[in-house]
Amino acid sequence: MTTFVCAPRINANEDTVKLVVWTRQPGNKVETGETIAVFETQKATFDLDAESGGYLQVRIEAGTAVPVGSVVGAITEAPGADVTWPVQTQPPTRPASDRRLTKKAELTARRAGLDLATVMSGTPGDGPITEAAVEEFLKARPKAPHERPASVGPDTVDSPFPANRQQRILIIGAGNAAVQLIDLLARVPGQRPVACVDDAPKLHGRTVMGVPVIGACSKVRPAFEDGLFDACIVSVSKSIAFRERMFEELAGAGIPFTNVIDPSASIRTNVTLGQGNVILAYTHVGACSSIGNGNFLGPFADIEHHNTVGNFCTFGPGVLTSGGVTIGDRVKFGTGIFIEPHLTVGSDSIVASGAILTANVPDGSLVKTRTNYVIKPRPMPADSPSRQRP
Amino acid sequence: MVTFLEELNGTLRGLLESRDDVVLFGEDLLDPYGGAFKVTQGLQRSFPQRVLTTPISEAALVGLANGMALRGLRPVVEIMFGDFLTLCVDQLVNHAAKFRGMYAGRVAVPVVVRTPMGGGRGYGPTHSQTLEKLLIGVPHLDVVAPSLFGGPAQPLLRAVAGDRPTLFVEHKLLYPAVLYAAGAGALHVEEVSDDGYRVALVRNYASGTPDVTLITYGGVSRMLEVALTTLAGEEIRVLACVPERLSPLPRQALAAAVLESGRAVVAEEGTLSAGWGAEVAAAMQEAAWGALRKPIRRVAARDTIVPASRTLEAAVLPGPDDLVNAVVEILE
Repeated sequence: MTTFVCAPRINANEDTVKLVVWTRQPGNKVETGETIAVFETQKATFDLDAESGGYLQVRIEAGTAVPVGSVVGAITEAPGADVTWPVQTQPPTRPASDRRLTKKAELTARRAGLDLATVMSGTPGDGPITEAAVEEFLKARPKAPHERPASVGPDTVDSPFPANRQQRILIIGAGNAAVQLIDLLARVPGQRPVACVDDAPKLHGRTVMGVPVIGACSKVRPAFEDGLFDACIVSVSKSIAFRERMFEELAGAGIPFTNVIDPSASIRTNVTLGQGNVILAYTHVGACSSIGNGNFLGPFADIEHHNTVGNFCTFGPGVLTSGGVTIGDRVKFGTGIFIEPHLTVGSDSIVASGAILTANVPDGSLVKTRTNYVIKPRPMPADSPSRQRP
Repeated sequence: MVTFLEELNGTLRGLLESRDDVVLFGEDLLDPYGGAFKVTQGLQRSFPQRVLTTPISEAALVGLANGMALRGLRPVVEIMFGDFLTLCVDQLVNHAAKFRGMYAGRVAVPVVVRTPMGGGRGYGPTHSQTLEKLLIGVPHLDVVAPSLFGGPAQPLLRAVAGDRPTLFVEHKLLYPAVLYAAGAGALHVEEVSDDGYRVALVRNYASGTPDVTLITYGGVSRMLEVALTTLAGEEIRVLACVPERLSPLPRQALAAAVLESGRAVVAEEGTLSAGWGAEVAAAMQEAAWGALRKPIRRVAARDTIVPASRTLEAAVLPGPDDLVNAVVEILE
């Protein structure tokens, strides 16, 4: 029988010990309990005794640092007997064919609502799939249905849908803005709200103005697959980030977004409108203006002619732009703001209520106009009770 | 290839050689033993008058150091295990940190208290803790913890040369570790200075902006190389910020690093609640509120004692996987 000689654990601190010397030589006959080697740690040296009698065989030369527990030699019954040294285990290596996404690529894919298996099977080459590859995949994939170009057809339409068909709308967010939207949709003949979703569990199973809250935002996709609605809209006006995230995730996954427009709003000639916009009462969008996706306008907003509005902006009541104004993405306007012609308001800016913009606003600005500023006392008759002391 | 222990020992030797006012003392420092972690090995043989062993009374030996410092010496005290700092708190908080203010600036107490902290060796509940959180935020007391990015020499020289009492925390797993040689590995290391203490800025990418800023110190620095390399393989760009001085915080340097990514993870080996990470998180939300894209995440030990079993200890203390997971989660 062969007994292996292993590097001993000398103290709890050190996982490596140094084999200082073999006190018995290869081929020597050793007795049980006889010292055969000396090991050393930072703190102490240690004599290793033979666990059984026999003939010593050396695997590791003296002067080598070895991991605790590793086999450094053996004691065999016969001198020079064959020893099968244990194999050093290696950490398993990943086979080259095993496709995986880097964590960053996975996050990008999930954010865009992509199915990971589809990305993996649809990406050529081997090795980990990178973020750049996912972005390529996104560019190359077929356009989502809502991006189909409008077709021109004959006046007599052969369609399975009756003329009085209503687009069924799912509302994302079941707060006060959902109330605004449901109130609005009650006045729109071509659309009707069928359900709300909201991440606040306390709202689940309840209704907003008679419209059921069917669960969290994660419900949108399964509900669409079940044919529960035709298009969705994000009602949340306060959180631009939420609106953007929902739009990017769901539109990217091919879920159609609709525009919800109050009948009292006036959208003029040649206006381009994206998807997922909410346009509230008495809002006016002037001729040849262009509005992106996911904006929340009004009430009483006035986007004049030849304006360009980006994506995910929020306009409070009474925001008035002159002609030719350009507004970036994710701009938040308060209430009652005037903007002079041909100005640019940079992306990610916040413009506080009552501001009067007379110059361009760079990206990422916070704009506030001082209000309630008394310039000077008005001249008043001497006997007026409103007359101020000089 | 210099180990943390070798650099520390060499720095102490250099201090004894170059300054007559430096005195080293603590329990079991004498040769041939050279201290429980061998930090002072060989020093007593060379400087028998200025390397002294003391009885087992941590309060007394820090008190002794305070007196020496008041009279013009620069004592460097070793507490054998940081867990026993609790016995020195009165001398540090009520005496060393206060004398300068109480005596209208006419005296200084340049005491350096060095001590090993941290777990990972199965030493159990009273020899494995990370207790510097108890002394963070004490006015006029510096808390310093060197890391593998920068090593112990410069902060120790800065502490001894300064006029403030300083707690100098050495994670015991760093002693045998080899200092990270900038330029040798895959990580890009720069440093910025704050009041003579450095903040190492360690990046796992060559160009572009970071996805996440990871703020940590001391012992956790030993996990950074593997954690940052793993994350680089996942295409996640991390800027790790490793300050030498924990208290007072190098706020500006940390805030600048957080502003680069807008996402911050703070990691420490001490317990989570009311820890250093909580202070960093509060300071960063004050400094960078509008730029934070996600709530700041903390990685720390669980709020319990450190078990002696290695398996249980590993479950209680943070490891490289916890760093990696926190960084990935803040991006999700």
